[in-house]
Amino acid sequence: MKFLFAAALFCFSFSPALFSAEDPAPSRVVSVPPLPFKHVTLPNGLQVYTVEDHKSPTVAVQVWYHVGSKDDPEGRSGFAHMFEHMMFKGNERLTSEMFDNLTENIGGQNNAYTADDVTVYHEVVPSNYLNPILWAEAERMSGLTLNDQNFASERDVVKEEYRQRILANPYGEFYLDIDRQSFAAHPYKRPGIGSIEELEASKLPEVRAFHATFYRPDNATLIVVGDFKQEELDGWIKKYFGAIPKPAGKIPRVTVKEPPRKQDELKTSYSAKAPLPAIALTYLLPSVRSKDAPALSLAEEILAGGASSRLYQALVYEQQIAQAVSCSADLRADLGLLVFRMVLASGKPVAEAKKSLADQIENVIKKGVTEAELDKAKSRFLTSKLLERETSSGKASALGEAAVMYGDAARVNTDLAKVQAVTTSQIKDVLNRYITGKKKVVIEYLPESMKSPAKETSEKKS
Amino acid sequence: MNPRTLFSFGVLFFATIQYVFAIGGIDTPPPPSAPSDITFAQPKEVRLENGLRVIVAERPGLPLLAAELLVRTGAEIDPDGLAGAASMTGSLLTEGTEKMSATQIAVAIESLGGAINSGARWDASSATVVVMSDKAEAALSILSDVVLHPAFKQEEIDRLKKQTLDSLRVVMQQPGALARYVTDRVVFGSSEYGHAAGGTTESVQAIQRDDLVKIYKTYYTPENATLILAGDVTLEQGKKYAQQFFGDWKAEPSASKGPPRPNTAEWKPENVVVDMPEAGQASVTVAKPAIKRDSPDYYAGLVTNAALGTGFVSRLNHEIRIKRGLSYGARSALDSRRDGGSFFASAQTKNESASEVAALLQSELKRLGTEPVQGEELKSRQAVLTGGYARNLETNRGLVAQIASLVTYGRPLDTVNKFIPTINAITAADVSAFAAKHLATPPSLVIVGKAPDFLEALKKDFPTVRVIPHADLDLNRVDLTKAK
Repeated sequence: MKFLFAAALFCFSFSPALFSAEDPAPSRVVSVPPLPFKHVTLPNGLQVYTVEDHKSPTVAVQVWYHVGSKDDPEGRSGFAHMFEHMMFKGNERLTSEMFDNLTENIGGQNNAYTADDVTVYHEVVPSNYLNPILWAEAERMSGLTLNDQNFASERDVVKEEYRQRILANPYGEFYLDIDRQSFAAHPYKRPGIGSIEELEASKLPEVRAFHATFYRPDNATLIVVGDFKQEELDGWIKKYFGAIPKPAGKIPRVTVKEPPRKQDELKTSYSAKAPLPAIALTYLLPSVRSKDAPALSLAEEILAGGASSRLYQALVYEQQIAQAVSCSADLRADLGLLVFRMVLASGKPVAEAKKSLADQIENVIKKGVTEAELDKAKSRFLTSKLLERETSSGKASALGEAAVMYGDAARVNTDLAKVQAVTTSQIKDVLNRYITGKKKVVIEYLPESMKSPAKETSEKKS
Repeated sequence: MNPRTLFSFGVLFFATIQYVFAIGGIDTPPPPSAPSDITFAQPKEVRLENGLRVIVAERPGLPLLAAELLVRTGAEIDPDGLAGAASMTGSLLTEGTEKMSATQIAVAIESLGGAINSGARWDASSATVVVMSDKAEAALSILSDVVLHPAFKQEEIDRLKKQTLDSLRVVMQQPGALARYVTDRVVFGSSEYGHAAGGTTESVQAIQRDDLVKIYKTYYTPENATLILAGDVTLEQGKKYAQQFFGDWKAEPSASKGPPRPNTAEWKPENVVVDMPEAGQASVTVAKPAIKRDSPDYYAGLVTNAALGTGFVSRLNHEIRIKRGLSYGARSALDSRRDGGSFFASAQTKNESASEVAALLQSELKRLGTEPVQGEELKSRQAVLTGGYARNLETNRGLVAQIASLVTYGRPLDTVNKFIPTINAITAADVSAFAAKHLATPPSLVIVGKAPDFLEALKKDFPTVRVIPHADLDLNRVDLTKAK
């Protein structure tokens, strides 16, 4: 009886999306067709966003849980990610391989990823399989049935994932170092992939507890984009997801505040695997919801997006001091990180590379960027958004990001105008705000041969 | 206060309640409704007077255009000792023309919001652009300039060589990437596909400007090329663009790469271990020669491969990942090329379990011949292929890539819409026949990893193993070992 809801209680509150001119379009209009989404909140708190689109007979389904690696329990880094793997083990009704039967085996696909702030389960299925896949997603939201055997074997899979991403990659440890060294207190410092030791330490009851704590309808957002009939879809969502009770009790949230940096820091480590030195330089940034986000994403594009970008042209092309360079304004829910990364070209001194990078940053902060650079960045940004909308899964991801990460689904449409409106002086301002007078962390990841000067000399001779 | 104390495990464990109701009141998944058919934009073609083939797939909707200028010759024509020459020729197209520097090209295309890429793979070379369709003319003008008038400046050649050498140093430290190079040598030996398509440290240093210009002059001709356009464009417009931007490309005598260069020795399986002391994981591969792309067995081969190693439910992932937790993912591939092909299965695993994974890969390959792929398994594997195919073709880039593959291998353009019915017509008997004909004899084994951790165990199943220390590995040589 408990899953039979009276129609009146099942209150669909449609909030039509706003696409129209919030900001007047700037100089050049590039038309990215808006996503006409519909939004409802189920009585149990589940947020639902849908876009009906009959371009191809497929449908993309995504469930975004508002829990990520930052919620890893103490002494259990990597737990949220390992838990994500356990979500494919099912329960009494949704048996272990059934999820694949309902996706891969009928020509669809399924996968999931765990980020710092969210865990996302995503599928694309032929549209005639929408009904069963919604049932399956609701089943694993309602509960999991796990045993020591499937827990142990899946934990081994995750350990192999760690080895493949980190240990078998010459720069795997370097990637982990960036967060580890850049944050002082916030759990973003802990690697989302975890460590072999902490994965080993986890126990089955902890997995069950994690589900009960975080995998609840009022902590999730369902996105459906593609070939469906709205009325039919609404009925299925009500039947399957509406049946899940809203648990009592509050959802624990990370409240740690990252303190401002007090001093510049240099962290150096050595690797037997890395053939070339790598360097990262980081500054703290605001949350993804900051009003500076559009200018920061364009600044990132101007600095290191494509072969015509400043850093590529200066460091890789002209000076040939770097083999690769990147800049990312990595904005997350609580705060972000501005990360400059480079792998050096062989034979180039680390000090010289650091100096060249610093010169480039100083130059852009002092002199700003040109109108042409800004226009180029905007064109590239908009083209990438247009390419994202070629597929239902791309649209679903864009909608999920706006709804969950930005806290405002309408931004999937309105942000494009915001980006178009950014000026060169805003770019200069944001870079100054987060770099000038701020403390940096420099991470050096060097070949072991650089450890002892004597050894380096002898290698040069041979 | 530490927020972690808010959800200590003890408290949560006792608070956990397993829900007992069935979702929607049903214990099994609801049945699917009736399926819909998928049809793709049928590519149409015209030919310019200079011989250039022009193919257009009209796909209105989003204002986007993807374009590829394809040359039907790739890394297989690398001269002896000059592995990577075709790849370098392709890469240099966008690094400067008679009129524009590398920087000007990058600024021009990126100012349009687009991107340009060029390079070579096995059997083909190409330059591609993706751009908003209102920028089509400007983008195609750049594409034309880089293909018709590349400068091959010495300065750019030197720069690219340095970059390639540095990336090779990184590749050589990755067990998975290195295993793929070694596997090509083990499967293809001295034939045209045996060398490293991206070059080796020695061959990249040996390549001279003349080698690149010669490859360019011989193979980059309108007769040997095809312009492919997909997206917001009509056949009429596409033809106009082709004439406008590629009409002046001068026809040269048709290039021929000559007969394929066969393996000098009869192929026989061998077990090779590259001992990399600092490997964080072992990469394990079993591989053997297989069919060419134009073989009548090709589609049966695709279904056989999907059963063995495509997706989570494939036999390899069931045995290696799901049942035993030995790898993050195993896969297999049928890599069919113009004059040869290979079939391989591989997985990365911790060094200590390399021998167990090697035995599993080999036994699963063998099981394809003894336990037929039939019934539900066959149906599901056909769906994996047709579903994946349809998803790839959802984007203009994906559609262009599919057409490029058909052109590379001389297949008719209506294959675009015949792929799905052809796969669905493959029977259990077809798969069994493929396995019997092509996979029955033992494959070669290649492991790149920390040998002391698995060698002893490995020798129980594979008594004859050739161990090559990482420092002695030489991809230039058929025997893979540096000359003493």
